[in-house]
This record gives sequence, structure tokens and C-alpha cells, in this order.
Amino acid sequence: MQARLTNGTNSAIRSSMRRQGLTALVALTGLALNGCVQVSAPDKPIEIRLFVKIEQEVVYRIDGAVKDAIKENAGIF
Amino acid sequence: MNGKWIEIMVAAVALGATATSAVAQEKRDPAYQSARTSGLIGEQTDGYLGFVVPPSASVKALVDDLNIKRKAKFFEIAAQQNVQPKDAAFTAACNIIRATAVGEYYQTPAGEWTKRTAGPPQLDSRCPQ
Repeated sequence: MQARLTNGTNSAIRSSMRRQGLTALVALTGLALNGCVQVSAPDKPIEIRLFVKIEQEVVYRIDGAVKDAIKENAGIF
Repeated sequence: MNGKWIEIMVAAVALGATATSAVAQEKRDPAYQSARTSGLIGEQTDGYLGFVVPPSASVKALVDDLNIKRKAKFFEIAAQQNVQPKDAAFTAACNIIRATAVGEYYQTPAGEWTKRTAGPPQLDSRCPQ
């Protein structure tokens, strides 16, 4: 893009002026609209529930059914 | 006389607590029962059978077969109870290890092979009391 705003003879290069003006306008508008990007950690600890943990209340709840299954299939246990 | 009775009762309860019921043992394949008794295989903390010593081909085949069947059972329980198969397997392990006979091998919560004694086995703290 030709950066000169005037040609050698002190005449304004309108097309160049227009183009650069438009570019500046777009850049400033983008800055105003987007603002800053937050790169800080959140206040609360991030809680991720993984269902690979053994929950003790589950163990207690199914213990009876498991005992029965073992009894019924004693040959493999 | 009372003291003697209490001793006998305590001994009887202790015996019952350690031994697998005779009925259950009978239902096992003789080769499987033999492998358990001779310390070749033992009960893991995850509900499956494991090798205490490097297995022969036949023992490996035996254990693989039993573990496949156990896995199917755990998945079945899990589906019925609406829980993860891992939960069913873990709960089973608690019961299975508790039912091991004196002299058989099982894994401690730390994962070490250990021989079952007359006292209660070392169990994961999440096992039902």
C-alpha cells in the first residue's frame, strides 16, 4: 500500500488518504470493541468431578447386591 | 466353665469369619482351587485374580478365563445397580478378600502380595465394615 499522503507536488493523494484513514478507523474500532483479554486465574478453585473415584456411599449401597452375586456365582470367585 | 464357653464361641466365630464356606469352595474348579491353595494365584484389590508367581500357560489360561467371567458379572451388577463397573468390582474385592482362606494370597491396599492369616485381612478403608 502506498504510504504517501502527498505526491511530490504538494497535492493530496486522496485515495491514499482515504485508505489509510479507513484502516486507522477500523483498527481503533476493533480496539474499542474488544478491549483487553483476561489472562488471570478465577477466584474459586476449579472443581472437576471425575467419575473414576470410588465413592464410599456407593460401596455401602451396593454391598448387599454384590454379596448375593458372589454367592450365586461362587465358582468364579 | 463360663470362661471356657466364651473361648469356644470366640474361636468358632473367628473360624467362620476367615474361612470361605465349604459350599463355595466346592463350586470351584479343582484346578482353580488348587492354584489358590498352593499360592500360585491370589486376590487383587481390583476384584480380579492375579499371579503371585509367573504362571504356567495353563494357570494363565485358567485365570484369564475366570477374570473374563468376573468382569462380565461386575458389568452386570453395575448395570442393575446403576453404578460404574469399577464400583462393583471394588465392592466385590472387599468381600472376596475377606472370604479368602488362611494361607491364600491377597493384595494389601498398597498392592503387595501377602498371605492370609487367621486374623482379619488388611482391607481398603472404603470397604464396608
